[in-house]
Amino acid sequence: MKKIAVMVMAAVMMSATVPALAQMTKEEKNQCLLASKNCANEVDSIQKKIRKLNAEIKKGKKVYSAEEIKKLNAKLKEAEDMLDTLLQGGQ
Amino acid sequence: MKKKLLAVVAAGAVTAATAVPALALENEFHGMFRVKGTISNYNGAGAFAGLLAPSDNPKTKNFVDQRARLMYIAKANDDLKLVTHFEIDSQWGDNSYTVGRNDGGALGADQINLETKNVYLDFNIPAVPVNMKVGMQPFTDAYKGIFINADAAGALATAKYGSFTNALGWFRLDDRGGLTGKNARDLLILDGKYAVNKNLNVGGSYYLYNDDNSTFANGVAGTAQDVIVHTVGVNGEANLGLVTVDGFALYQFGNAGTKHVSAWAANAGAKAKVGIGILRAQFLYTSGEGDTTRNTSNAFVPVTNHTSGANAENTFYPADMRIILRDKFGTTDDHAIIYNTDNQSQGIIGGFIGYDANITPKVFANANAGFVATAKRNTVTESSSKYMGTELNAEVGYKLYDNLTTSLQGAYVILGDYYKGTGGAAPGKIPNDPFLSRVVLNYAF
Repeated sequence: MKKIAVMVMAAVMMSATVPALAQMTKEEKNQCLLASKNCANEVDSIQKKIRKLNAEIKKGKKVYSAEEIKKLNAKLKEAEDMLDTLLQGGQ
Repeated sequence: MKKKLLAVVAAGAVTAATAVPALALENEFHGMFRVKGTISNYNGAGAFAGLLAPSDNPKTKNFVDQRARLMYIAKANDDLKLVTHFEIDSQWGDNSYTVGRNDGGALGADQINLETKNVYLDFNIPAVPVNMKVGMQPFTDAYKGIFINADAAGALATAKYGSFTNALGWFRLDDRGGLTGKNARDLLILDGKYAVNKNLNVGGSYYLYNDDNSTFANGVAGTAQDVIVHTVGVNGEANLGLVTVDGFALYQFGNAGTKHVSAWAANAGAKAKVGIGILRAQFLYTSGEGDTTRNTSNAFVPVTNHTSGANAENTFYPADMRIILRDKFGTTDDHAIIYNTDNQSQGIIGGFIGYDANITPKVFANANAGFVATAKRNTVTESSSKYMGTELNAEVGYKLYDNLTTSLQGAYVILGDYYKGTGGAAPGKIPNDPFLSRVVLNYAF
């Protein structure tokens, strides 16, 4: 019984430490851009974010639904507005 | 038995711990850093910010200023985030070891100079297509910023229904009157936009500006009076294939103290891809008042700041001017011949043309020309001319990296007869033409 309990614990702990990213493949949707999930610790620069969003939008309906493309477009506008806000002049 | 129980409890605890969903907070950092080295005959240290009144023999000066902006966004999920935005400015050599914004560039540094631009919550309301922004946030009107383009504390709700986008907002601009919470300055925003098709957008809006018991009814500090100005406007943008055109019209009515307000503004813009770049054109008109003694004022009423001498909270950046209008590159040296879009209650007639070229993926250049005149004159000088001047400016830049650019900029204003005999110039003469040349380093991430 003790052995079984230790094995269960070890299995659960191992499953918790395996990075979620390893399960993703290139063909899968980029959930980080789409829904802010499974993002790696690395932070994108605003330009890189805009570039990645443009690349995802270009994939079009082969990969994303119309609703998801709309969402990506909204995120692109948000990123562009953010860059404008950062660069805008004023005292 | 005790050991078994302990093992089972431990296994259960670990299982429970892994089953609890992780609070996946996405930390987003962005920012910018800009350094400008300037040689100019009209600008100088921070005290030069605000309205530029050309003067004769102003001396050529050189200075360097720098700005950092840091933005941290704590994103709980796709529907909820806190946005914070900070700014640190200084001019090299200005001050050190003291407390105050826009300083800290002198020997020793150690200045307390962190400015908080924005702190607001941005969230979507579940089950309805409504986004809320609550707190100190950036806000630009639907009229290219000529009424307001500023950071302001308030609540803005934006709803999207198919092709319709509606925004309803309330901003408290000031609450510094005799009776706080009552003698306040508020702005109510109601904006609507409709995408007729992918090539045509039309919009309309109503803005209510209410300054209760204001000491700024006439634009400058004076006797406390109530100010209430209603602004109604329409705007549109159409893609006509080769050319994209846009524009707007605004009408204002209400009362500023004992004066009745009846003012208007209009704009038309166009841009087209020509050769290796984009050709742009803009026209702007804001109405002015020539007779400040009569009971009706036709002077356009933009939102201005009542706590600072550099008081503009409005812009017209599409003109891409460096000196005659506020400069999009402006930092502590934000200084312009027309600093507010009311142009000291005289209004603006302005025409602007420019060309942006991407010469190679790394090299870019642009050139602009623009003229400005007052719509009306309300000052008595040697000349009754409304023509204020024409600006020519240009920029050549190189992208050192994806997010680091360096550029050389130059601007020159040929002053108009409006300035004849002013600013210490001899009778019949115009003060020295303002100019600037500078090198800019700009990093954004």
